[in-house]
Amino acid sequence: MLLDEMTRRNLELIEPMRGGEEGGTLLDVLDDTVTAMGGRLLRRWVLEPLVVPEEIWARQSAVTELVEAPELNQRLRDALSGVHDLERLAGKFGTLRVAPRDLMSLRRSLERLPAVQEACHGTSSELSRALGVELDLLDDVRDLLTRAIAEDPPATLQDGGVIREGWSAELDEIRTVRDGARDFIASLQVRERERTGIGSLKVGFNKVFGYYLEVTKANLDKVPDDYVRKQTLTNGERYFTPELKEWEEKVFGAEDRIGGLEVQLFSAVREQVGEAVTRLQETGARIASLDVLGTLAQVALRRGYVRPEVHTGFELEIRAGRHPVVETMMPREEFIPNDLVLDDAGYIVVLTGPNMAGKSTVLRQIGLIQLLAQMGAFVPADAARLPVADRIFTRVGASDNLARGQSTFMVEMSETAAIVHGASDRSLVLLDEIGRGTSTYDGVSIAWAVTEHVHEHIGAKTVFATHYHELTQLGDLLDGVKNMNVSVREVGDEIVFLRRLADGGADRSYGIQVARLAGLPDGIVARARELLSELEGTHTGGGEGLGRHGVHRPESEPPPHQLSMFSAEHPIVTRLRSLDPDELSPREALQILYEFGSVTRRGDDG
Amino acid sequence: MASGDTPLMQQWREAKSRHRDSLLFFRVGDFYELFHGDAEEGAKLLGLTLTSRNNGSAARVPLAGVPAKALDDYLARLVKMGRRVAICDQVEDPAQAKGIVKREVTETVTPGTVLAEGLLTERKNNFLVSVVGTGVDEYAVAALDISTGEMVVQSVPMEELRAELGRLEPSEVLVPRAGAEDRELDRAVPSGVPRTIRDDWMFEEDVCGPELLRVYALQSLDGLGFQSDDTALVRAAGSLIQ
Repeated sequence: MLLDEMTRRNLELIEPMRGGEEGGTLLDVLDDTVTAMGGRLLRRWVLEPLVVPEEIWARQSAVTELVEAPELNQRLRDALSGVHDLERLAGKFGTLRVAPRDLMSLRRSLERLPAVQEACHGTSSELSRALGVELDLLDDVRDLLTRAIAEDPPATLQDGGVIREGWSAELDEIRTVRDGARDFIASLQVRERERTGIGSLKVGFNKVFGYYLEVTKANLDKVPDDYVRKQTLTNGERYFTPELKEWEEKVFGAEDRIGGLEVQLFSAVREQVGEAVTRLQETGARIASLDVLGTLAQVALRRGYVRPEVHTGFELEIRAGRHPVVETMMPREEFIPNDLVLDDAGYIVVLTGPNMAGKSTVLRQIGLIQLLAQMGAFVPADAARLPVADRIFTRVGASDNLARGQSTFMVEMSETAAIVHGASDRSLVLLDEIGRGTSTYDGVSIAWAVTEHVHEHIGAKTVFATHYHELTQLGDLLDGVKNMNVSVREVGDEIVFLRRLADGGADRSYGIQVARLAGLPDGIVARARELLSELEGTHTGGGEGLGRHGVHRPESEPPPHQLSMFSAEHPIVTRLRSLDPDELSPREALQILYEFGSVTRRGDDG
Repeated sequence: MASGDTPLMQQWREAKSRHRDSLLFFRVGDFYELFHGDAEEGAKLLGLTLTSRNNGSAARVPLAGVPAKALDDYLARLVKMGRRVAICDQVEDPAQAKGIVKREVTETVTPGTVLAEGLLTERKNNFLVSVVGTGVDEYAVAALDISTGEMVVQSVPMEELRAELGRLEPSEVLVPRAGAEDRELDRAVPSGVPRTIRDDWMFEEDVCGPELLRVYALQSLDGLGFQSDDTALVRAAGSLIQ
């Protein structure tokens, strides 16, 4: 499935919205892979969900089996955990940047493969068996490395000792010669001490001067004639003798030959392993897949995910769904799970609720559950039936794209345009607050028209979050469109967020209460309340409270006249209807006239 | 060039002339030095101390250097910033050299072609991507992770290019000079990803086809799954491996 940039970003798949911070992405929650290859593959699975049902089912079966047999999964993961990055090791052979320790990593990795295969013999899903049972163990390569390369080779070839004893008779012979010469030089210490009577005489070696005999200042008078001075120190002198020189040359000669031979032997081994690069890559890819499958099982088990029923039909049904990332950031009992059904009777949901109520979390949750299902993973819910979507579109929150020099509104509209063009009746569309970047009238109109278009021409399952509760009228007007809300409870002038998804539209925006919660000064809040009740006319006064949340307007009552475009009547006319001129003081009447004047002028400007 | 150039600076100029778009790290003893404009840029990007050296009769040459041991750290930072770097090493043993030590550029490092472990993210592919327009609102996109040897090639409709490039999370995008002015393509490259313009000939089919055959040691491109009319795909893929 092609995931566009907004969806990747909005659902915070691999990067958090607020860039730079660590954690908080779907990948962070899922990534429990034990190999680097698995880590890379998981990232790709997240960014590239499947659209072929059979492939999804195959992964699901493999994951299910490992969820049901945790000991088996643990065995598999233990075996995998010692496998180094075979793919990148293989890559190094392609470029000849192979260091001795890479060969050691490779050997150790290959030694783990039989255990991986062994664990896979315990599986029965087609996928795990295909991946594991036919795993190329690369016995020939492992055998070569075991015999040719030292157990714990040095970092560079120049350090010597990379090739294991027994691999090359010639090398072993020269090494014996070198060791013999070194031993002889070491034995000189005892011999020369006896000969010269200098008890503190030492044989030493350094890279610049080679082998030397060191005598302290106090004993310089005892130095024999055949000693040749080599280096002067503050508290002594270093010498060599013709004999020492002769043996030193033997050592150096042998070392030169050893060095050359080791390079030659190492290259040959490297070349031979290089011929198996394609097999290494193939094995690496299988290991990566096994790692990801085991990881998905592990996460499902730990976090209580279930296997979704992925089908080729239309309906989407999630029981007690959770947001996979948000739930990890709070104690389990605090996250309120939600149900959602999208079917022919209601495939477009207008989701209302005040700002801060959690609409965006609900939207992202739906998108993430759908995406997890199409990765072949389990999902955070009690139960789920999900269709295979061809695309997931999301527009959640205002995403600034100032770097590209576009205004928030432009970005919002071009993203919406992309969705309208790209979506089909098999898509899942998640829209949050489109039209927010412009005036209320414009915003509601655009949102309304987009919803109508999706309804009439696309037929995509759509969840449309908005705090314009005017849009709930769509639920009454169009078949297949239903209202849901993220509930709040009103307690006096305050509201409490319940974060529960419920049927029916929200009756109001609660913007003023939210503003107050956010810390706007009381004076401003009071004035806003006053203005609101004026704007809303006689209906649903801001401060009275409805007593109970979620009450629908009585059938007989016409919708509130907040926006002229949805009513036949001009707001001024409405306002006039509600006035009783007899009860107005002249000053009040004048005030209302001023107000009308300003409403009219504003209308002209717009 | 200034006739008063020291042999070292002549050597530098020669190497630099072949790597004009890269910062040239020039090995001098235990240091890698940057000279002239590179020194000024390096000082700015890496916070190195900008000094100068007096090269005989020549004017003072701006200079900034890093210890050879620390090269990898500095490379990592430059590559993250999306800069290209060329490394000019001493290629003979100074002890045996007659006159000035021979130096050659032994490695060029760009965000899409790094191989050193320290510069790669373990849990993320490092894709070098090449994009070739086909002229019919479609692009050929080839992605190669040099560190693992994986290569993916596909045709992408114009409207999906941005999403596709985003999914690949490329470290560097290669574009033929002919596509340098393509606004759609420019918009599709994720922000922060360096776009490298390469000469058009590197994307020619007569160059790319044989190159693919050579690298993959094949007789025919069918072996890689290319069809005869996949010219653009061959061009995109071939441009990656030169």
